[in-house]
Amino acid sequence: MRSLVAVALLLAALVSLSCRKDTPVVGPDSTASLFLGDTKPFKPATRAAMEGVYRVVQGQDFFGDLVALKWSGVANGVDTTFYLSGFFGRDAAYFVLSTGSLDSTLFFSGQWRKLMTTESGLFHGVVLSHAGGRQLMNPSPVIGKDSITISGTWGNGEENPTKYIVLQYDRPLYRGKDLEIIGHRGGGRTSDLLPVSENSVEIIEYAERLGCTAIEIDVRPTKDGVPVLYHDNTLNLRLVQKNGLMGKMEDYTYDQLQGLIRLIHGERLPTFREALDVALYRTQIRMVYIDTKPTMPVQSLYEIQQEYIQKATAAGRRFELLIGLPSDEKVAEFKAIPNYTQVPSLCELTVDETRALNSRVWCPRFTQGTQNDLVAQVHAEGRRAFVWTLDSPPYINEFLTNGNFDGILTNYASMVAYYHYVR
Amino acid sequence: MSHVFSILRGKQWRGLLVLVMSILLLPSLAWTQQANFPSIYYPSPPPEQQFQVSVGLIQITPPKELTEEVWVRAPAFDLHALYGLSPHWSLDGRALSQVIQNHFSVGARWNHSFGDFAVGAGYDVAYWFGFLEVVDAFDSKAHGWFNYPSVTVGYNLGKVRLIGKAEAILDLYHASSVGENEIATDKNKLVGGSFMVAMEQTFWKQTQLTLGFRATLTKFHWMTWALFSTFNQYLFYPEIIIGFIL
Repeated sequence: MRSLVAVALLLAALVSLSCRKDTPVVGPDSTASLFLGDTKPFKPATRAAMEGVYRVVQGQDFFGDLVALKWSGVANGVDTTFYLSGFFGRDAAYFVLSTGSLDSTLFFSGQWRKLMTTESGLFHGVVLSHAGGRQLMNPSPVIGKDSITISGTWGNGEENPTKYIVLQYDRPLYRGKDLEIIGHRGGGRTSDLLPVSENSVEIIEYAERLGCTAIEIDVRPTKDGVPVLYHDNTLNLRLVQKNGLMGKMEDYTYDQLQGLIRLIHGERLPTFREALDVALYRTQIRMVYIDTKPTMPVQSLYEIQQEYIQKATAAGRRFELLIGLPSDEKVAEFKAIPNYTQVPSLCELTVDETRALNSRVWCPRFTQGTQNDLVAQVHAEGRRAFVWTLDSPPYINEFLTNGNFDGILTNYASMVAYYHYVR
Repeated sequence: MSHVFSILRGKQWRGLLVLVMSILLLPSLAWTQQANFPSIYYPSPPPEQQFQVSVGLIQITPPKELTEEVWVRAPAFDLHALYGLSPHWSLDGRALSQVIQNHFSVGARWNHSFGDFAVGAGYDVAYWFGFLEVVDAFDSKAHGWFNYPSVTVGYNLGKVRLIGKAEAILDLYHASSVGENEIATDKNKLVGGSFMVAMEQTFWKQTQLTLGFRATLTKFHWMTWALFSTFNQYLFYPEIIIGFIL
């Protein structure tokens, strides 16, 4: 009896130790507006000239030796807000910076984050007039090795940015073989402590800043048949804030969910249509890979897919919408669509099944390796091959170096972007 | 080190408090009668040139950071043996198996008793390997080497022995492959540590029972190799240990 009491105490300790923890990550830089002050937006030529691979000449112990700088923008009507992202080679580190210029000095302010750790912080930087600023502000900038020096400071956590970092322009970004960098769950996982929640409208807006050229989203229906974005089979505190609901998404109507559910960072649960509107009209994302959850009818996805293909054509956008087919059950539903071989799809099963469905893309797991012989077969038939879900940095490098995939689905888009652009 | 403490906060400190309380209360719950019986974790070697063998199960719960909504709790078979070399020294061998992933260790232990107290120090070398082959889904393998330096303290209450053991986890090398693509990493560094509390007592006739709980904080755990974790963070792995000393 006494021993049982002791065991009970030990088990109580086990249960208590297994409770959820919260790790704070630095959010948007509240001092950015002060740092950027009355600066003006960069001209398109300045932005284009700044993109490239830079050597980290100070701060490499923390961030690695190289960084790839790339611009992205979020449209709001006729206006577009541009952000400068930097993709580093260590611990999937990246920064996202707001920018502005004053005369011939360029200013940068934002946050950095290492996705593989819990670290994040603030980043401020400048390009002084004599360190490349004057050249960059020319109507036709001519940029060469060492012609731009970005001097900055960064801080860890909430501390003021006082540690030095210096970046020096080395070469243009790699523009050889095209690669789709496909952000998992709209751009990245909630568990990677991003500033926005997975499968939200906000992460779709953020995806290009993480390095994505395309996104994958998880679509499942509510009780009244509204397709929404949500990954897990159940409502749980991993993905949503505390609320009064339990069980499956499919047990509740859309109105009930909208009234009671908020994602981890407070966002609304997005409908599939809201997600596509943002991807199509506010970003330059060029492909959406629809991960069809088991309860999601393929016919419903098909109807919305056709609607948005027409909208993309009307908008003059390169915008591909692929219905993901992960199982035999979903393949059977897909085959019930008239002329299904003409419907853009992505097959996660075998190459033979991909051929039978006339899918545009074959998408195997990365756990089978680069499979260059099968990828060559797929290419010979005019299809593309993507791989999922590849996060390990050495394997990302291995697949880019020794594989021939046309796209990589990843939680660490910044890491894939780094290895791709510094090639 | 701050990461380690940042992981244990809030409700988790309350868990630690319960754990400490349980250690403090256990002596008052135990019988005072003194007895000697075979041990596996208590720092006391078997008689010279004799084996002591334990069979049992361990159950590790991988962190939600890795398994997300799925709560994985796969038990592993645990065969643990000691061989007495002298009154203070013994050899320690252990095999853990989940069929698709396995862990074998051998090491040496030094032990010393002070009345009802005993202390020990050990050093184990471990090899682990795993394979996962499912047609059109997985063609993955991995293997590696760990070293585990440890210190143990024990308190003999007679019919019950209490054990506390702290262990460092050194990842010397690990490699994995997917299809024909292989990645090897020569890490050779401290990736984490664990603290175990256990009790050993008579269960049935000559059979002794071990019940233990191990709290491990590590950046890499061999049992989760197939998840290809990329978290460069100390994650928490609670482990329950049940063994029968034969």
